[in-house]
Amino acid sequence: MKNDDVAALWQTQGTEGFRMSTEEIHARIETMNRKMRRRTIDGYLICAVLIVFFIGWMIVGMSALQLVGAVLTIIGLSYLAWQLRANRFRRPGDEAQNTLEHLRTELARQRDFHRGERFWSRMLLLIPGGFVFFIGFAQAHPEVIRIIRFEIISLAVFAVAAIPLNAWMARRYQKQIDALSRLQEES
Amino acid sequence: MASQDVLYEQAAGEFGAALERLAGSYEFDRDKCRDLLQDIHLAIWRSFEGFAGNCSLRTWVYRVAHNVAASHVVRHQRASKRPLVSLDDVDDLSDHDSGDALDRQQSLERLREFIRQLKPIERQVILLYLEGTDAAGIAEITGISPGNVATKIHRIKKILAGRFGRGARNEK
Repeated sequence: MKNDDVAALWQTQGTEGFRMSTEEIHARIETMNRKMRRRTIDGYLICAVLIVFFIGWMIVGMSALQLVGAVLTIIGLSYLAWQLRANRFRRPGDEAQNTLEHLRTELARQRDFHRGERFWSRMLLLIPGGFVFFIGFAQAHPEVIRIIRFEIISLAVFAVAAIPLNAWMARRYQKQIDALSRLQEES
Repeated sequence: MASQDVLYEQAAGEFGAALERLAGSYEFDRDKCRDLLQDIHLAIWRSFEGFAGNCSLRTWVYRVAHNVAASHVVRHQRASKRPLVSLDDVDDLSDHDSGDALDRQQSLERLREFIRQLKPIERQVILLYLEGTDAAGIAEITGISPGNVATKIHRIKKILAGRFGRGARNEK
């Protein structure tokens, strides 16, 4: 079989004649938009529930340190939710970039989630809040100090492990970006 | 929205079969392949909001379709058990080549299997080559430099000749 025959074989393979009617497309787009709105509302609801929960707790008797920790944690979680959401969206027109640019944008977005400003801002907003909250909790409830100590150690291990793990992920994405860049250069 | 509909109808009519072949080369599973194909069609319809005619409809449609498929590979590569390879790492001759003539269906299956093991960008080059796109068109769609496209096509031809040429010789 010659190469032209391989191409002919490829082009003449049977297809099902898949088509979507414009009505079907409009309906699917509307469903996707509805799901997106639903997810956004769910995110806001989770934040609202957390805020109400912590305010209720504060009224019942949360120490000042716990309160600071709780507020920082809420801000950190909200920021994380926003980052994840922002990471999903693309600029208009991105769909029709050439593939190298498209892949590079995609990989760079994934890489930047794991390094630099986006990674450290997430860490700084999430980790100290957790520590402050647990320390405040331990002060208010010395009877459960052993459990809190375990929670604090777990959080510390998580924080320390997150740094090399994210750096490794970022390097992995960077390697793929570098490989794509080489393809754009003239051989 | 009306112009998006018109452009979509035109694109689906002209390139529908090629899009099916593209999705089939990315997903073996029938349901997943259909999902990918639907994603491609939806992305094409949405993309027409920004279509200003700066490139041909063919280039635009292929770019969008391949980008959806490439993102699909990037998203699923962590779950994939088999690492994707480069054209340079592929043997010219198939490792399970028995020397027997292959029938049409076997040849197609073997071709799809070969394509599926490639990295997204190289998968794209071979798919465009098989669809009859010339080197300049491939460079425009993929963003790979013309020199690199020529090198890759040369390599693809060599691999295809090695993998699919033997059956034909045995038939004679």
